[in-house]
Amino acid sequence: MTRTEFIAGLRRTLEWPELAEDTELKGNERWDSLAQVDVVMFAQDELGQTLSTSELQDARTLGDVLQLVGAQLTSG
Amino acid sequence: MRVAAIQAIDHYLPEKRLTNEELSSLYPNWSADKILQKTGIRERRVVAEGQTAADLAFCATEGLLQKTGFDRDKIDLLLYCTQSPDYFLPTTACILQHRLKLTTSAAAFDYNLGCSAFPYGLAMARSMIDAGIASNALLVMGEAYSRYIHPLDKSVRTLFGDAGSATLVTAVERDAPSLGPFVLGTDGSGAQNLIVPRGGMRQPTREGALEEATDESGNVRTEANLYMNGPAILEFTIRRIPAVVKELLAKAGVTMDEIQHVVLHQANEYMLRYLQKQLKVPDEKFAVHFAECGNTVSSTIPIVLQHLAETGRLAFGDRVLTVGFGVGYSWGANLIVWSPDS
Repeated sequence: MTRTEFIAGLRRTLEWPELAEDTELKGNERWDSLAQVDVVMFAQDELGQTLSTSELQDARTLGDVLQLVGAQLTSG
Repeated sequence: MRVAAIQAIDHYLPEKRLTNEELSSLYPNWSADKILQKTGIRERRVVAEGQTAADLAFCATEGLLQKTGFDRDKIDLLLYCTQSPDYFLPTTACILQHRLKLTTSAAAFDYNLGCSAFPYGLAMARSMIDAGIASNALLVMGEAYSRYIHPLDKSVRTLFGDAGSATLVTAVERDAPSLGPFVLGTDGSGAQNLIVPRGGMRQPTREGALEEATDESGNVRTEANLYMNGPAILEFTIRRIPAVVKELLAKAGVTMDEIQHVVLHQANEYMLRYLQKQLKVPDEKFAVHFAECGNTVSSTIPIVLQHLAETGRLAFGDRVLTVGFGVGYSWGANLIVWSPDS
């Protein structure tokens, strides 16, 4: 899966069309526990990667989340 | 050979309903449809003012005894699981023994577990029957997490429902064990991820000390309320539970193909969906039954088993794989060979 496809998938899953790499997650009302669960499930389903939730919950932006799965993503 | 076997199960839900429509009116970003889609729950039942988990447990047990006509004087063991006891002391099981008019020669005690409670309880009932200490056990669950939940904490209020359940386990003659093997485990490093932090001896509740706080997701709670780190619980489940199932199957010397029913703790839609896929369990074997009552913690597995039995889906000799997991972290898995007397 490419980086672009991963972001597009998250936009659909979270119903968050404006989500981008620089979107601030910390303090964002939409970045609630359910959204975090959705991201964990998405990474598990699409990449087979179990995200560390402590790292996920430390992420400040979507770019930080992408770093957690970076090795699994191809460029593009 | 003398073995322990489940004879019957009953449960009781409080009358008060909490629907997704009511919840969505409190949480503007969560529509009723979204709550259903994400949790798999349409409504949950919650205790009324003055009603406790023990009241639900009492109703479930009375229902079981009346339905089966089992002579209550023959009950010699009452195991009661709750995390919302009537009092710090005495043990709620003692109060239930008296309310249920069980004989004073019955052993009765509480144990404190959440979603892993049913496999643990079966392990204790079987052990005491195998040891000749008891012959007729009531395994009773009563939980009322709604007592701990802040009305404005959607992360938990959308999931949990209150319930009581009762399971009759008796000594019978069979060719092989009916309950077991068991895989039980614990990882207390996750204790902080599902917790009521204040109110016990470690952090007693002091007058005026309970300030409401709003978290980054907009959920409101005090330290005397239930807190759940949902993503962390999900991570624990993903990492732990498939391995537990694998260990149980190996211990039993059977494959998933030889299991007729898989009954997992009914946590929520996404956990069940993930585990079903991961464990490669076909729909017809994978029991799901919580949309109308929510995650009832210790009672989810017995509620599903009762549903399977009463809808004619459990046949004598069927192998049922159950797994409970959650608060603690704690987990328990076991096989049940369904073999009641009638």
